[in-house]
Amino acid sequence: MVAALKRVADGDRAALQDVYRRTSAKLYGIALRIFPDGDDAEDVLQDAFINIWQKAGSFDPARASPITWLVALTRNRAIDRLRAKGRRVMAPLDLADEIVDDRPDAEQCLIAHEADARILACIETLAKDDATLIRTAFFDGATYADIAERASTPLGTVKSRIRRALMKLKVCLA
Amino acid sequence: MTDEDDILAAEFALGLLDNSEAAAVQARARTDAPLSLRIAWWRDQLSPLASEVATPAPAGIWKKIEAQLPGNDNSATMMQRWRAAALAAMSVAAALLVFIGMQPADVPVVVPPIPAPMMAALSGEKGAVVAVSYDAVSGKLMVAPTTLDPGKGDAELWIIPEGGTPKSLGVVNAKLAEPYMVPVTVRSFILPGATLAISQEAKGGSKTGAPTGVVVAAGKIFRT
Repeated sequence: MVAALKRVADGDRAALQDVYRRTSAKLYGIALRIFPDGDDAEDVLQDAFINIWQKAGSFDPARASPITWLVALTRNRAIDRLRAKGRRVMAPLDLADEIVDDRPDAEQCLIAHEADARILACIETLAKDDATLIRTAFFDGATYADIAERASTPLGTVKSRIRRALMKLKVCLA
Repeated sequence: MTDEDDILAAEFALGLLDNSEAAAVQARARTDAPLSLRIAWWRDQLSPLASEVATPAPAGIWKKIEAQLPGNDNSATMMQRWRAAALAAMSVAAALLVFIGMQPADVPVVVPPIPAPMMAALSGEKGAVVAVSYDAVSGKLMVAPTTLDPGKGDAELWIIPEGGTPKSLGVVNAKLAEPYMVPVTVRSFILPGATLAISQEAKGGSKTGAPTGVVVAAGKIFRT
């Protein structure tokens, strides 16, 4: 993947198509999470790949893995678009009685066995609500303040809960 | 690394901090290598979460992306065009220098219609002649030396904003025309009116972040 991005930086379209084939499902999933209605998510994916084409030269394998870079770039495109529309992800988060089940299904659990994906196993070791908080931050680009508002929970409570969850994740990931 | 800093790195990587807090962490990470490494570690650890939501993208999106890519150049012909453009600009600039005997900054350089929006003709008292073209969209900088003496070490290219201090664009090949990707952090300095300069530095370039050797070529950037 590092080699493919290098070729993209040199203006190789076939390499960009290769990157698209290998990552578009993940990146589209991220866009969908922020724009569940589809049309905007498609635009985000297009924007992201035009951006990848333009910025591949600035990808530094010493600083991030390719997928980290691609995910960050796609999230940024999606969040920029959301802000340009003057919206924030504001679906209420009901921590006490979780309706949306964010846990991976059977097929996705297979992916969890990838060696480099410890996080997928580690996040399952958290209390369900704590995992929801981490996922909300990751997928929705939600800040502490956003989460506190959505969960109707005091900011201090949200902060200390997420920090505790992060400490647990750290121990599990290390 | 304290636990507190490690959590700060995680908070930054996840995007939990508000704008001013995030800006403060970013500023600190520029000079605090352990913090910046921890941010990168957290990002790498968290990014596989993306596979939890993986959803096949609707058919047809790739075609739309492909239609938006500039031109139909493959990399080889693109490079030939860069090279041709740089060489053409260089010969015009060199011819004018000989003909009018003026410093390059004052020369009304005529350039052919080419895909590069910014160019510069660098020259110096010892006879150095270097053409540079820059594509702000891709961040690609083409450096084509006709005559360039790197001294005992390497030739290093600098961008000097109007009224500002030199920032390194890296060591360049003194013999062959080559494309370079400009680091994102210095791209904003490459503007018409700013000066490009080449200095003779030790092998591998200046260690101090500022030019230390003789400046052998300089010229202002102009828009084509």
